[in-house]
Amino acid sequence: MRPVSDLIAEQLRVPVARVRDDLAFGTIPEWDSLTHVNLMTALEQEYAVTIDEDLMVELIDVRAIRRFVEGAAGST
Amino acid sequence: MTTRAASSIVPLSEVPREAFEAYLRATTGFYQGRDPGLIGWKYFDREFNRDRCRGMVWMRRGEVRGFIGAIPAVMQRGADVRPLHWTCEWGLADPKTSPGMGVKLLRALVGHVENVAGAGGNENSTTLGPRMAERSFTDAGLYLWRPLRASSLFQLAAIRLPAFGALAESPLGRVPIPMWLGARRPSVRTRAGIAPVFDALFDQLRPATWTARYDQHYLEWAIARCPGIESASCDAPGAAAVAWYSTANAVRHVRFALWAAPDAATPARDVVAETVRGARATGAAIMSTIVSRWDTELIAVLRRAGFLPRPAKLPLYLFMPAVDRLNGLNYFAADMAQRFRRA
Repeated sequence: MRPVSDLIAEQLRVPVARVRDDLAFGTIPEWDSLTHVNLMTALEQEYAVTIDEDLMVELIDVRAIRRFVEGAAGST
Repeated sequence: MTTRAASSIVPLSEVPREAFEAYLRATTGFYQGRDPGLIGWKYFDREFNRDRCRGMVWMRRGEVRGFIGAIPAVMQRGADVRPLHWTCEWGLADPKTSPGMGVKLLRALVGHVENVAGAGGNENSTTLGPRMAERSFTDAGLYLWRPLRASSLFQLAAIRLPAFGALAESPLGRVPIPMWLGARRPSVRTRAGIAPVFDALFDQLRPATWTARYDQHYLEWAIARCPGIESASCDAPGAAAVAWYSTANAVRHVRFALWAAPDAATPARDVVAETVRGARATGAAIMSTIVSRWDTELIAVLRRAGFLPRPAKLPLYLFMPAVDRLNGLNYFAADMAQRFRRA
């Protein structure tokens, strides 16, 4: 599995160096609604997790995504 | 790994009507201060709905948090007639805290009904539409207008020189603009409301490319049963038009839609002239219509009748594969027919 930063950078089409914990939906033009949905789909595929609508609207920054992915990895 | 499911996207028919109406009133400025029956007419008219999907709703913890509306019509190519669903009122209660849910709503609708298309629309439509559509056109529809009274010209001038705005409101604004409409033709009939002539005309049309199509039921719902709308129909063999205006607006703006059989340019011309005559008789200041840019025969008829193109164009988004373009655009695409600005 790839590091979550790499996957986020790929989906947002930004350099990995820009993927810091405080980077959030809506704070850069590259992270908009459509990119967010694509990012959630990529997370589901990469880490074999299910992200429903409730969770999708909570995973709005890199910190939350990283915690979620780490939690998912720990629970398997 | 799975998560809890306090949130879901469901068809409108599964949502309590009161909750839905409260959501639309709170989030959609259009309904504020307008006829309270508008939402009921638009989404809960059983005769029009006939159990068809009218939209998808995002419910979260028992509350409506987002919606995309669907207006069922059909599209036709030759004798092939298929369902068509126009999107409308695509929005969220709180977009800042609902990332991606607008996208999810559209995808849910596309997955739930056949052949989804959007025309014009709000910020969601114009920003996400082109990126999510199989095909999109920034200039699929032309707005054509014709000033009938001086007030419409003063309002146009007021865009550059605001002092003209006062003239539009003055008695000078009510002065009719002289125009020659030709002699009345006995073959042209004008009647109040939606005359029972449209299905027979639509049945004559066999468009070579995919074309949005409506029927008598659709027009009766969209115009005759819509609160606050007055209408009239005009027809001649091979052509027909419906014209309507909002009774709430002090400055009367008559919209109309025109249909004509192939090679029916002459009756179409006569129908347009009579529709203009009828609009003038109601005291209208301005008339307008929308035509697909590919409907060149209708455009030619309207331009010859003195209608002028506006610089703005109507965008079209096709969320359906295997359809290159969609002709037959007019005010009945999406919910544009009833979306009068307050004036």
